[in-house]
Amino acid sequence: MSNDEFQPRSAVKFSGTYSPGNTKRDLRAAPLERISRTRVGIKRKQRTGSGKTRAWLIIALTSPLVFSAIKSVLNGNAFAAMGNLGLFAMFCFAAFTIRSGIDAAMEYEAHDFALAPKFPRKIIGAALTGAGLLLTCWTGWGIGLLQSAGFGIMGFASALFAFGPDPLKDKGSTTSTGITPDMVISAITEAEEKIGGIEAAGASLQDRPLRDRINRITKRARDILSRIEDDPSDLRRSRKFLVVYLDGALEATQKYVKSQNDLSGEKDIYIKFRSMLDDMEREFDDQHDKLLKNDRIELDVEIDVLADRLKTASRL
Amino acid sequence: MGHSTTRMLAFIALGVLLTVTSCATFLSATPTDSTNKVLFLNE
Repeated sequence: MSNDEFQPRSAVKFSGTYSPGNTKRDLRAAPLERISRTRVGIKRKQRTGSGKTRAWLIIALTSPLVFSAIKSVLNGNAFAAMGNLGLFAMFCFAAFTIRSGIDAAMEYEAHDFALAPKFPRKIIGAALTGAGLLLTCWTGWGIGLLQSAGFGIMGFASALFAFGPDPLKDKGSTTSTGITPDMVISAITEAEEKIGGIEAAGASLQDRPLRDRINRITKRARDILSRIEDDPSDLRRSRKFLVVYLDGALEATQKYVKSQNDLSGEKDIYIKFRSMLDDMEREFDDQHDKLLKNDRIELDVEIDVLADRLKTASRL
Repeated sequence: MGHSTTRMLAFIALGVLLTVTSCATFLSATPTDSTNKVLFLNE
C-alpha cells in the first residue's frame, strides 16, 4: 500500500474503485474538502477521551460507603451513617470536579490558541480524593491519623498521575505578522458567541429550509474559525468578514424570528430572507475555500457588497 | 515506561486504595455500637 492513501487495509478490503462512497476516489476529487475533513476528524478525536469514564469509577469504587451508611443506620448509629454518606458525597464531588477538569483540558487541547482553565479542577479533584481517603481511613476504617495521612497522600498522588495535571499556561504564540494569542482568542470567542446566538435564534425559525440554511452557515463559520486557528495570519483578512457577516446574520435572523408570526402572509420578506441566507452561505463557502488556499485576493470588495445587502435585509 | 502506562498504573493504584478503604470501612462499620445498643436495651 502506498503512503499517500492513508487507508488501512481493513478499511478498503470490501470496496472497489467504483463502489458507492469510495473514500479514496472522494478524497482525490475534493482535495480542499479532504483537508477540512481531516482537521475536523482530528479535533473530534481529541474531544473524545476515556478519562471521563475513569472519573466515574471513583464513584463506583467508593459505593461500599453507602452500604456502610446503611449498616450504620441498622446499627442505630446515625452519626456514622452521616459521616459515611458525607464521605461518599465528597468522592462524588471529586469525580465531578475531575470530570469537569478533563472537559476543560480536552477543550484546551483541541484548540491551537487557548487560555488555561481558570481553576485547576483536576488538581482540586485529586486533592479532594486524597482528603476523602484520609477521612475515610481515619473516621471510617479507624486506623490512626498518621497512617490515614499516608493513605491520603498516596490517593492524591495516584489521582494526580492517573488524570494528569491541568494545563496551567495559555497556549499559542505571536505570529510574525504581530498577531498575539490574545487577539486570536478574543476574536474567536466573540465569533463563537455570535454563532451561538445565530444558532439559538435559528432554532426558533418555524420554516425548516431556513433552519437548515442557518445550520449550514454556522457550521461553515466554525470551519472558518478553525482555519483561523490554524493560520492566525488569516485573522486580519477574516476579521472584517467575521464581524460584518456574523453580526448581520445574527441581527437579521433575530429580527426575522421576532416577526415571523406577523409576517406569515408576507411572501416577499420570506423570499428576501431566504435569498440573503443563500448568498451568505455561498459567501461563507467561498471565503472558507479562499482561506484554505491561502489566496491573497482582496476580499474587501465582496465584503462591502454583502455588507450593503445585509444592511438592507436587516431593516426588515 | 510510557506516559499512558504510568497513568494506567496510577489509576490501578487509586482503584485499589479506594476499594480497600471503602470495603474496610464497610466491614468495620460500628459492630460495637450494635452490641452496645443491645446491651442498653437489655438494661
